[in-house]
Amino acid sequence: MKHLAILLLLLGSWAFPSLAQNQELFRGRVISGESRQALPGATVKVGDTQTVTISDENGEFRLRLPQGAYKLLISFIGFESVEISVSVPQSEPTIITLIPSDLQLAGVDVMSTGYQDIPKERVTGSFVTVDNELINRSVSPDIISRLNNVTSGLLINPQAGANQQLSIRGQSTFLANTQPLIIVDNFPYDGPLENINPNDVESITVLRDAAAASIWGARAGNGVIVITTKNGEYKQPLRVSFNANTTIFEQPDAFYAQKMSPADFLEVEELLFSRNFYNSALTSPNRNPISPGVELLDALQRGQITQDEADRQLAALRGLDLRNDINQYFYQPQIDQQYAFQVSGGGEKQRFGISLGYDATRENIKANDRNRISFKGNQEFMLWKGRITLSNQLALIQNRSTVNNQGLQELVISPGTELYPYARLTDDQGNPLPVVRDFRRSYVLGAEEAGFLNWEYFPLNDIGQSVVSNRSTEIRWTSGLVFKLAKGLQAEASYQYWNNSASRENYNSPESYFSRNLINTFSQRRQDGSFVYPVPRGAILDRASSDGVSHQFRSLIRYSGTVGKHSINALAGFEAKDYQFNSYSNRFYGYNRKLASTIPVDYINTYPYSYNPSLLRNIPFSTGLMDLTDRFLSYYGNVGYTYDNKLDVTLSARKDQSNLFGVRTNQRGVPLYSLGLGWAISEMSFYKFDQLPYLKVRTSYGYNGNIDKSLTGETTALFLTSSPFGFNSGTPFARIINPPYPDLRWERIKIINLGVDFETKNGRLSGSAEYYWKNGLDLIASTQLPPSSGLDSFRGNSANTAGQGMDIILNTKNLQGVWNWDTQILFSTNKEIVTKYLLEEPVNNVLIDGGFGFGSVSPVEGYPLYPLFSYRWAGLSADTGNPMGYLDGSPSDNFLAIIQNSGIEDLVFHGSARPTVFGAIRNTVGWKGLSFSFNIAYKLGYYYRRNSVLYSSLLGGMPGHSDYSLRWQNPGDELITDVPSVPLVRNVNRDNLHRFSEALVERGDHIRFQDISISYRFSENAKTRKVFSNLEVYSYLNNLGIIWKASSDPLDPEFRNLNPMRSFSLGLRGNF
Amino acid sequence: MKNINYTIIAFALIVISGCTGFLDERPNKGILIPTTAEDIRALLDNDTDLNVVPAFGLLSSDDLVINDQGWGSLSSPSEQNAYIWNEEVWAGEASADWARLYRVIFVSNIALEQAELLPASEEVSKLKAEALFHRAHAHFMLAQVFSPAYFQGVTDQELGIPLRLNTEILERSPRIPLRDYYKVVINDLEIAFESLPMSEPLKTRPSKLTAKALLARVYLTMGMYDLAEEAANWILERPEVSLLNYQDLNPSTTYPFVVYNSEVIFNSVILSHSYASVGNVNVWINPELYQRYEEGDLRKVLFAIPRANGGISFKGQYTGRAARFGGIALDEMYFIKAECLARKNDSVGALKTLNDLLKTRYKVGSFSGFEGLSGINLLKKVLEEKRKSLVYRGINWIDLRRLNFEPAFQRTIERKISGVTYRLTPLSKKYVLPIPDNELNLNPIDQTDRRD
Repeated sequence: MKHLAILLLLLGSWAFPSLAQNQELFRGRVISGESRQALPGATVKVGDTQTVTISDENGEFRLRLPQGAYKLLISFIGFESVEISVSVPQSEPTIITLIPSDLQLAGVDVMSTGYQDIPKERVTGSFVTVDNELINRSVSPDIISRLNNVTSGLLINPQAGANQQLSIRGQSTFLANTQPLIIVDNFPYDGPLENINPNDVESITVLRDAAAASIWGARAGNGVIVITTKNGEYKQPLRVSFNANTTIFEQPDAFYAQKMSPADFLEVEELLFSRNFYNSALTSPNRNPISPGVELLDALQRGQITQDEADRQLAALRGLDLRNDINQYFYQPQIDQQYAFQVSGGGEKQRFGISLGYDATRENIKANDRNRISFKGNQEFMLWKGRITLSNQLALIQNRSTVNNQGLQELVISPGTELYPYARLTDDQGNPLPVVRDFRRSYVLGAEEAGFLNWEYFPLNDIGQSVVSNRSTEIRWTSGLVFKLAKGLQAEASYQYWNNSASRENYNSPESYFSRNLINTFSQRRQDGSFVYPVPRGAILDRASSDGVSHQFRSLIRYSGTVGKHSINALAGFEAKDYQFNSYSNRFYGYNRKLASTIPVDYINTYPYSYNPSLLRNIPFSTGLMDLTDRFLSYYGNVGYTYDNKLDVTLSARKDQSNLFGVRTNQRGVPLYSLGLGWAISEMSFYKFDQLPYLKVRTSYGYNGNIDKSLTGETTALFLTSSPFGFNSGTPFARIINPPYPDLRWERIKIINLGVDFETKNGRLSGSAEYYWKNGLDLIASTQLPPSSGLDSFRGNSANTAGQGMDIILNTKNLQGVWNWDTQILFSTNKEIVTKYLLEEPVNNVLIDGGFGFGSVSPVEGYPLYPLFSYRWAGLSADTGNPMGYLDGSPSDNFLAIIQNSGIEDLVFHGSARPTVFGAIRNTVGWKGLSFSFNIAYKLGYYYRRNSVLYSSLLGGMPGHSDYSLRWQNPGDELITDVPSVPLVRNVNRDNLHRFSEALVERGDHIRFQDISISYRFSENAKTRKVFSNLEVYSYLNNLGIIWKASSDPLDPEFRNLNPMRSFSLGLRGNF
Repeated sequence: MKNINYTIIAFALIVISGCTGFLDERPNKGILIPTTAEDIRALLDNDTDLNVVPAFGLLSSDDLVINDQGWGSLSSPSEQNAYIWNEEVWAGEASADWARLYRVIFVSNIALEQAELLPASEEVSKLKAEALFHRAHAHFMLAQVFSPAYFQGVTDQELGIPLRLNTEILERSPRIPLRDYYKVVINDLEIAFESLPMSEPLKTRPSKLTAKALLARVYLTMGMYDLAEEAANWILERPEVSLLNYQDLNPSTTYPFVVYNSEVIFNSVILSHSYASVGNVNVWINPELYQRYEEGDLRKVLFAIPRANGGISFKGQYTGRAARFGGIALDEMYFIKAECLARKNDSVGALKTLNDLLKTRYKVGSFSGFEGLSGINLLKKVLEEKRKSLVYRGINWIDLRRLNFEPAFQRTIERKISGVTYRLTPLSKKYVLPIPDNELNLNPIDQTDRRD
């Protein structure tokens, strides 16, 4: 009743203004803070009343108000709204300055879910936004690295590959997709993330819980990252902006990884030689490659050289170090260049934005580079008195990369065996030298004379001979139509076409080692000494091409309305997606680049290898085809109800269906839903706490989903053709790869989130704290089956996980005025435990997989997803230097028995291999146009396993770890080292006992000086403004180094193989 | 309002039109649900998965001997254990014999279930019949290693092994009575026989010949000699198969017999194991058996590779390549017929059948045919020649288990490894291999009692 009275009162005051008594005239003028020009058309609203007026062509407005104090809310599109306190009567007209919204510093206060923009105050779920300023704070060609350490709850693992790099609140899956869903301009993005130009990005919202993400349903299980790109604004004067920067990285260092010294490796070669290890290689009909050190030892043994000569030459080899050559001839500092150019503007009924970008990278391996050209154009029209809005967007991205130098992967003596560490790539004059590869040097040297092509491998000459070129072109076209049906009710339809065509070419010139080696291997010498070439002479070209196309269509109806204190925001609609991917690859022998011609080869018959005619092989055939289709059909709805700006209730539901194979039709889809509640305590009448003017609590509950499309509900089979060696050559046959599993379901992630948002007076301290429970249900995992079922194991919905943690964001304004000093503290925790897992993983798998924190999982019930376990370490045996563990409670070097008898319960559990506590502290200091900001990041509460010497590979003749020099050599050494002695014979169990022992487990906890960002905005005066506005120079220093780490391991816990490369960027941006 | 109505109708139309068939597209074209007759044909032509038989029967039989060095270098402890009839065989290891044969049954059941969904046609009934044959064959061959031997008067107390008749992989199958188990095998074969083609050029595919030949073997194993004879005789009268003349073969080639030779009725291979490898020089034809081949007996040369270490290894497999033959061939049918006739005292018929076969195994002029044998002596002769002809096919193991019930044919077999002699006595419980440990861990059935 009371509400109705207020409503009537409000309506009354609007309908009958003349009835108001004792009114004074209030005058004001609205101007732009940037240009000091008048802003016509700005909306001026008086406090809690319905009194609204619009500024005239001079930016001026008049109001009639009774005496008293008022709050005025002034808003204008393209500018940030302001609220000012005024008193009536006034002494002189009030000047109100609006700041253009692109200069907005306070952060975006709208959360985008990709379906709707929700004002921050109306939010019930867990959202994190990264605004334009924060995106531009760091410099990189890609968008993901700009989120690093500035996004609460998002963990980036620099060691994991692109498909497992990101995790939002843990990883609630084993075998399905682990990466967050990426939304670009309201549609799921299927392309590679490096195609998104950060200069085009306006803001990013990360959706962390069910209330935020459940609108994305079955693909939201890993969280959602919503990227919104820039566009012009209505009634915005033409704006031209640019941004250019250059980044120089530190050079990689071949000495960073702990590799054994050339002298140590020669020592091992001498030892192996004395044990006759090389006998079989030295006499092998396969002409096995023999390192120069072993050749010398062999020559000495045969009496071909004297002891003095051998000693002299061995000493010379000890003095060499391949790592010097790698640093000199392979590595170089990486240089990134970035240029972006944007034009945007808008009139009454249309707005547009065009951006162009060019990014070029000189890679840190010499002779390699890549670049990206991106174009994006948006346009939006309002038709029919604003009842229809039509928008179109076109984005084109082209990526190219050229790899002339295949880098260290080609520095091998045979596939999988690193080159001997005393190899030389050049002579004293800098002329390229050959190294031993694939065959023994004496054989290779005689080959040319025998009529073969030159068979030597010069690593430096091969640069530019085997060239991999990649090119990808992406087209993204989006059209949207919004139709206002009635007040508060609108219908929307949008469509996106996406296409990514990529090609990869690996051209091996006739001079390349690859081509020469393959041609020579298959060359057949005739009786008369002439040669036949089953692999024709000429270049070898590998080509692969892929084409991905998706169509996405979405339509929805949206309603928003307010009746009294009740507001409702609702939407419902459906979405369909069709994604097709096909690719092929093939090889051309005898390729002639000038004529684009190729020579056919015989893939059917086998040919004897020229170096060992008893090996009969087919010519390598590499042709492949793939054709994949993903289809989704989804229905969704979302309702937000607000009572009196105090209480928010949100409900969201979505049903996804996909062409998941052979599932019973009713299980093709999964309904996922969420419920959220928000309560703005500070808006309540009883709330009197002035020091904390904003306080809100919110909670949400709901389910997101995830799928593993490799699984099917029905039997699937792989179709093959019987080989010439089968009984029925050429007969097609099929092999079952998936058993029927009609109960296959989608994985579900249940999330409960509790959050509180607060802000103290004047915004001195603000932030949010959230606690969540995130449980993975029906996760797809392997289960063992009795073999009588016909299978050993199968994948099904059989595992659960339980995670919980918190995410805290604290913002403080330490100083305000001429000097500004702000601090942001991010603090997150995540603990995830496997609560149900039917398969008992072998201990060895648990030890191997748990050591990384990414990659394949071998879970153990009751432990984290990536648990770090180890064998108890009893030191080294005083007599033999053997590693010792515990057998029946006492130290023992019975490796086999320890390993065979150790169950999970006998191992030491250290903790998770993923950080369980992480975050960052960022301080920003501003003084006039100067802004200085630095970020300190921390990752705590986790463990990793460091590498050490592995004798089973070292005694197989492969260069190993530098710990070799610390090994046990004499009794007594066990007191100072944990590195076992050289064993008499290779023993994998002995290695494993040491490798997986406590002795090599390190705490990963560290604090890193992540970066510094400095920028200076030139003060503006009339003269410069004619040319530029908002001109800013900036500089960014990234990856500055470790401040503290728990372990004494000399390597950075996050950079195990290559040194973390610091970088320095310098750039300029502004508007014309 | 009109606008709203139209819009809603338009959306509704799009929703409805979007649904039909949209989600039926396959996610990956290289992989598909085997639904058509052609797909099922492909499933049943997967001979690497389907045409296999257990290897541990041959390993446990007295067809072969392994010397100390060879025994020490067998690649798995289970092979070592099985060779010396150890009480424990698997010791935690998985058994390929068990898993691969149940895999055959699984694939057959898949094919059956998928074929069931297709409209009836000659092709579909043929595919179903093939699947039934494979299932029966695998069940029967499994039982020869893991079930107690079938004997006349078997009761429901004698338990066999799990019988799998569907594709419910999560279902746990109990041991079932031996009688019921064999009933299903025979029933599957009889139904299969009706719809199978008379013969198949690809001898990995079942045909009427195959089904009948397997029935002959099954009836013989069950001691149902009349039925066995009838089945074997049916085969002998068919023109599609004929005996090889061993004189036409060249003993100096690596493998004297060719793929799908005219005697092969069903091509199947013994699951590969280190003991059975052609390159294993330490595994020999049992010398006690080998010395019984007379001069002029071509089996003596066609079957043998003399080794540098003095042993004689076997190379006479009917697969025509390195894999050991575990299928069904015409020569076996001659022996079945001969044995059954001898058992019903038709000495003339038995001798004729035996001589018809044996004259093709000798050099011209060195075999004049057996004469004047009858009763137990004739039966013994038939069985001895059967062992000599079908050596290294695993048949001897099946016969050992059956004949042990008849005191006249009982045989204790022996091994010597590192100076220790191991014996397998007739009626020993070790004639039944234990259930593999990984099966017992996940399926609560009782282990076979191997204690004598």
